[in-house]
Amino acid sequence: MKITTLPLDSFNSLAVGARRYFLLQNGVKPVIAPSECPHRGGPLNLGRRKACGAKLVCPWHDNAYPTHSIERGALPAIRRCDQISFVTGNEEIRVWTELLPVNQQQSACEDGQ
Amino acid sequence: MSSIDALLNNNKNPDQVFREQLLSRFASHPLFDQPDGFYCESPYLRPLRPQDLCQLEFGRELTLDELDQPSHLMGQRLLLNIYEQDLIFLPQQKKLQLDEFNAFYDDELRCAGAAIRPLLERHVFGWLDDEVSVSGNWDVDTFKAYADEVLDKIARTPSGLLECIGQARDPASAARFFLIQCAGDFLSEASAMARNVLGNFGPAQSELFKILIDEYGYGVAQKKHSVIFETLMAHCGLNPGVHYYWQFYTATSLALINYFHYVSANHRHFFRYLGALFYTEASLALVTRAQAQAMRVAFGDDVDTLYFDEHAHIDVHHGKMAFEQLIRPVVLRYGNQVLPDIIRGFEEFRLLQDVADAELFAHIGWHDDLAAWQPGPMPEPPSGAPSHTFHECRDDLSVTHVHGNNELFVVDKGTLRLVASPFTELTLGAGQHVVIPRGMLHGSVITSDHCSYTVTSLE
Repeated sequence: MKITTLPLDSFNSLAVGARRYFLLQNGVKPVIAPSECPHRGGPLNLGRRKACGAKLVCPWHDNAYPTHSIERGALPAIRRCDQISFVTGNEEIRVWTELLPVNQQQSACEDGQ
Repeated sequence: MSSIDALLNNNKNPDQVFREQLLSRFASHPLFDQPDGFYCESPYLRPLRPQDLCQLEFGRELTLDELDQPSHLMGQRLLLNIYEQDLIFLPQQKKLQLDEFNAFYDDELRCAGAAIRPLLERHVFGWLDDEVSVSGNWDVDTFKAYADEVLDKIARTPSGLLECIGQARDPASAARFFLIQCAGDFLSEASAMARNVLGNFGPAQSELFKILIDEYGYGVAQKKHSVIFETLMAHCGLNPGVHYYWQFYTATSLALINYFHYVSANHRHFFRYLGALFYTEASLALVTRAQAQAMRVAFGDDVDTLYFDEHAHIDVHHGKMAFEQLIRPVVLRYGNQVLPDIIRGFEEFRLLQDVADAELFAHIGWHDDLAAWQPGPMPEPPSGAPSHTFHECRDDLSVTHVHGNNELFVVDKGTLRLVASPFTELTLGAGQHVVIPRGMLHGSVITSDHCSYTVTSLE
């Protein structure tokens, strides 16, 4: 297994081998969540927050996933101050920063509920 | 006015008023009030500076950057007194003062302590929730891989303690100050662990018990780790009495002791305790060799390093036992749901240890600066900076404390001793000054019939 430690502000997306992940905020916890929607493989990393920030909505079919259920498929990670460490297999890791929906890191309501 | 009238006539939230009353009642207890000197001859006398309470706010959580603030030191001192009312202390050299013994374990004092404990715990440990978080799909093997990486890094990193003591102006004094920071914990070593061995939690309970009996020397007093540490202290010219150096514990050294009590006194935090136990046992196996080396650098090759050598040996076993016999079976039995707290405890104690090391090294650095002190030009405080002048008489003692800002300390009249550690003090006379950096522990005692001094914030 491989441990990678990075500054939290140095990336919001990564690939471990062929699998892609993105950095999702679940309350005070940063979660390295799978980018692939479990429904039809849509880009969950481009999803928007709904229901007071507790759910993320896939842009393909509007399926809404509670962030705690997304976390179940997330990489094992631990944040210490402004750094995050995560555990992967021995595959190649690539990290980068891309434009994600503006409300994704917020807990604000988008649906007015 | 009755206490009920006082509550009704106060605009504050009644709960807040009640808590403040209990804080004041606890901290102002005669055992914790003004002492005669800097050293505590009795395990029950633990000065707190209750006069500072009115300036301190415990109603919010400190941040990591605020651990050098006065309320952190006060909060940690208060908490240790509260937690240690659950432990038994009897003087080993001095005569037992039965009135002090009865007062320390008094029901009313214990009740006051129990009531303010959650408030203090939130104040001094709440910041850990902001600085450490665990997410994702952990299992016991991914945790082991992470822990191995952390421990390998510790093993590969040169010892900061060894470097600090080796480069100190007076390595022996620096090493003694380090031993004093350890003394608060090591002289009653594994007491918090003992809180966790009662009840019934299956085979893991027996594994934890094995570690406990190692710590307590399997019933042989001379093998008990605290006794081995007493011998080391005496060998290094220190008094091994419990909390003899109470006034010289830094806030983050106290935090290391209190964290284990915090996660052990309330068994909701049991899984955090297991993670912290694993970190401390496994990392001690790696760092105690350098600690023994630091003792030899400071005191020569003849110094008795048995305490650290014993841990370099036994904690290899304890680290393995904590993981393979405790954590792995507990996770197998109770599921991955308990892992986030175990990992959190591991990381929280690691962070606390790093913070405590940094504070220790900063203090040793300041002691070196004081040892090299020479009269010099006085810095100009910012305009309107708060300033307080104190008028005191011979032998008046200011219990050790810290300031929340860098402070200019000027003696206006008479003489005093500014005490930063048992081995570092400065005699200052009229017109002389020193800058006390924020968060640096110090006290003073007046050495002339009358003395006036002024403390001015430099921020």
